[in-house]
Amino acid sequence: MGKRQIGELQPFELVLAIMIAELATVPMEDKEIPLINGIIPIITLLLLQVVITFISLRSDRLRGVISGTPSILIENGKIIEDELRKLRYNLTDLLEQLRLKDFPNIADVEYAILETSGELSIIPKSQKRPLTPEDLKVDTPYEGLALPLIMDGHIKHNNLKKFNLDTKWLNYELNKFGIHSSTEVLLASLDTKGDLYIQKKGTKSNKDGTL
Amino acid sequence: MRLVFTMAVALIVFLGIGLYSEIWISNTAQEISIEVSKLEEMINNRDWDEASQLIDNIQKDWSSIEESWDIIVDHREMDEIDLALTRSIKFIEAESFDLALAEIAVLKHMVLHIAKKESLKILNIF
Repeated sequence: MGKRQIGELQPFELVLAIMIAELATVPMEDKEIPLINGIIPIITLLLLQVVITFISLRSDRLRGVISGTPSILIENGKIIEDELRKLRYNLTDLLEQLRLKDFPNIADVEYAILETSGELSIIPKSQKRPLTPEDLKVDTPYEGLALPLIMDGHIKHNNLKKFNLDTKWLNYELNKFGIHSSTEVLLASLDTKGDLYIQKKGTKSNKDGTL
Repeated sequence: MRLVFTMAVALIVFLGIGLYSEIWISNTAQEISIEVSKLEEMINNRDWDEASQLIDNIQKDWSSIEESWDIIVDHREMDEIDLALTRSIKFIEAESFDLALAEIAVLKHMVLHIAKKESLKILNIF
């Protein structure tokens, strides 16, 4: 199931996860049952999960059958009653989900889509969505991913390479902060603007919150 | 493609191991069953000494087979066979015709029953 959380799993993946958990306890609970009676079914289910996800990647139709399709609950600001009835999704649930997604006023919603994972995706009306720099015609510089260069005293050489930097540069920067070795550093993170965040190990904040 | 190939290989390996273990259990069960049938004949002929020797051999064979069957077969069923074997040995030692025959029959049935239960059949799946 990869790196998804329980709430993001497809229905069949959730079923498989529960079945695997159940199968794992069978030989553990009863000493008389050979361990292989649990291991083989678990491996089989894992293989099955990979096969099903592989097939659903290749086939739209099968994906629809296995994972279902997203359902539009609000379209152009109007609640689709038939869809709610078909999904047995009542208005209370809908309003609750909208509030949880920070849309307490249903009038602000253009589209609400119930995804196959059970999450509700909201597309607000254009006047109600958060402002973006594009709306203000403001140019913004590129903002990439800030990567950690040192974590718990260990240098992340791959991340240094991604920034086309080396340990010489890193040591030079650390020296500016009075740090003589990377092992003294809890976390050092560099963003695409070139700002280096460094925290030494054992740093404690004082009462007024400064370092 | 690599994933499909890996899945196919894994599936073939699984099926292969499953089939092999089923055939192997069936064959060893047949071997024990043949020996037990010989034992039955000896008891019918009241050849107690030869029967006693044969059942000792069966027990030795069973000890080595048991270690391998333990991995696949339910231990409770293996324990039942151990019990039947122990009782059979004692009944043969005591030259008790009826009880020895009955216990041998149970022993034979249990060994073949395990092989039947582990076989790949619709009945076993459902």
